[in-house]
Amino acid sequence: MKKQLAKLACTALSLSLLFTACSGGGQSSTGGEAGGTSATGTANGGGTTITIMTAMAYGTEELDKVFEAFKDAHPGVEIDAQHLPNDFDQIVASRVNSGDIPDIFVQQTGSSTELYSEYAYEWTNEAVLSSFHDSALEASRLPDGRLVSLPWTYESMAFIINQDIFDEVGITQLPTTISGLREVCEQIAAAGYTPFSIAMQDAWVLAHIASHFVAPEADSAHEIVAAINAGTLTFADMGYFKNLFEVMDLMVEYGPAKPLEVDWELSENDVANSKAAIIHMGDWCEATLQEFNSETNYSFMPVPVGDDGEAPTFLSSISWQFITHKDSENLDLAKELLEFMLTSDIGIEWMTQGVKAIPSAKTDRQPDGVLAMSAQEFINSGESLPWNHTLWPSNYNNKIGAELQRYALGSATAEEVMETAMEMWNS
Amino acid sequence: MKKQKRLPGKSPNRDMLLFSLPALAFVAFATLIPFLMNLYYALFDWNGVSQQKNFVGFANFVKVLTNDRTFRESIVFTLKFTVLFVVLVNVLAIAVAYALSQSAKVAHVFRSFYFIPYIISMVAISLIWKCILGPGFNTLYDATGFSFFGQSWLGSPSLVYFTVVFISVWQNVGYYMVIYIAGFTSTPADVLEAASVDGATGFTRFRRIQLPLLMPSITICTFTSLTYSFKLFDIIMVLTKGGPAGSSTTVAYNIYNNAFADFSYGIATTKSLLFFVAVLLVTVIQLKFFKSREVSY
Repeated sequence: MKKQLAKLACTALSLSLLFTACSGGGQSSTGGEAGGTSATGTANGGGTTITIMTAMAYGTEELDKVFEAFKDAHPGVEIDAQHLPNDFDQIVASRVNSGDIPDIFVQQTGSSTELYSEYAYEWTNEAVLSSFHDSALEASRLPDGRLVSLPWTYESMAFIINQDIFDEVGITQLPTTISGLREVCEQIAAAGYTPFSIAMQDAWVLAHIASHFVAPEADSAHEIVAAINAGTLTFADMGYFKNLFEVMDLMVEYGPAKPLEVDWELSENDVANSKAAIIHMGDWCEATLQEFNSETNYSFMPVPVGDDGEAPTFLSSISWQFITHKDSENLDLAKELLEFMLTSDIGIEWMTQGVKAIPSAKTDRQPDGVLAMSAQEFINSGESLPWNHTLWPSNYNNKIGAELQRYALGSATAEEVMETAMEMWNS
Repeated sequence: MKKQKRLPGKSPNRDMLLFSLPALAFVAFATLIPFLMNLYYALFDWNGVSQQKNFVGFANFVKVLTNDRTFRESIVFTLKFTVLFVVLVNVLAIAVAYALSQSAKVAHVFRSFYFIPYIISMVAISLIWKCILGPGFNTLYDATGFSFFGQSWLGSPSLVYFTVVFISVWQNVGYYMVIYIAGFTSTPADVLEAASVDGATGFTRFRRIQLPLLMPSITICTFTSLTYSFKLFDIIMVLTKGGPAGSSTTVAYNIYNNAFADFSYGIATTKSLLFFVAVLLVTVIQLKFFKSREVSY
């Protein structure tokens, strides 16, 4: 009997050891295990720690300065920031799923933010909103008009051209029609350069391009998406969507030998090192382009969508925004930090100098990037349209992108792509 | 195997149970409980994030089985991959092991060469091959003009299949080779000698004596290569992202996409359940079939 008891005690002890080991491991694994970089140390004894998760790949050093300034003003507060440019969506989803929700985290506007809206603090009636541009707030709103996030920076996308090649070939007037685009391609090819290097391996790039041909449908992206959701608008109905395939043909015909092997990195490398003249990307890639070759000059070229005189499209919007966890123990502090990040002088400096982008908060500061500066001209002159692809259903970018890859490979016709795309939207 | 007799007055079962409790607790924590939760989530329409789950019964199963083109395509790709991979990797590994089971010095060096790819992480390997197949092949094509190098090995649906199979075989052949070498070297010398005396040499000796005696190794290698190819994920994630146009999506990658990109957690758990049952069935049949072929002389 004694022996039995001893055995039981042993087992119980080992079990309890095992479970404490498990739970201990669970707590400590909230650190940078997923490959992120921790900006500051982990929690200290009695102080408060605010956790932040972002998908940022650059400008994080300047962001650290913002954090330092905030910590100086709030002794005892620590900030634990993780920046995860890769697999961010998956990591955030599993963190939220397991109840380990960061105090502040970023999401893309539209359906991604909607997914997390039940965890998000609602900013709709907060005083801080007056510091932001109306168009930025508009882009961040949910379809029901609520605002559960604060916008970060404007991001713009269109074709990005290697200005040096364009100058050398002697193209002074950017094409505004698809036939004009074809002529430009012919000229560039005749000069011995590859005209296009579109990142066709990355489905999202093709989805971005496709969104240019959806955008002219209406001034409000919400309106377009609502019509598609309601079944009153299909891709085949749209005025310009079928022209997408004409431009796709050009991208393949005047692209590199293995178009489906080009990913975003190769695409940016090609245009930076003058191996190709035109890519499709946004002002977010300026830092990478500079890294590949700081000598090259770039500018934006709006995407021609037809031959009937419709203006070429330049899409500009808020891509990322910050969500504050509404049930966080440090909600007030987290809110204060977020406002500080987005509206303070040092925060603005982070966005304009570090990220080289146009802040969504009102400011006189100019962004320190050529592409962002040229984007600002399009925005100020009213020539830009809002993004619509962020409002598409979850993961629709990858799905329609894969269908467009099928078209580029010649295994689906334009009609088939439009039909499958509609089926996938509704499924 | 003989059944062990129970000694009177002792109850080894209870002791065994007691001592295996910690291990069982671990298994329950890491495998059993998640599996049951998986079963539970498969009955819900849930995005994996929200606190709100809608009970839908077996609707997910119906949808997955009847109306999911990408899932069907991923099954076809996975099966195609499995067939070619299992055959190639085992045949090649046996060939290499046969050649290297002689105890020459050079054989030891080559054994290491074949094994090295296996100890490099799949992610690193995928990145290396991406570089070789992209810029590497382009340079070779410019230099030699061979159309082989001009093909889009990652950008064409028909070729990407062979690329994925080739890289997987290249990486894994060393591992299976080690198991087969152990099999070859454990063949009793007297049996081989007797065969030689009886006049069996070269291929006959290999075919009639060594291969049948290698059967236990073949069983285990076929089993591991089968499960490996069913679960293929990392190389797809890094090298092809399931593309182009979804043509290299494996079942595991499709499930991952459903859970973490589409945010259809219910669908993903349903698929993983069905997949689990299918893999279980195939491996049980395989083990039974191969075990029945094992011999002893």
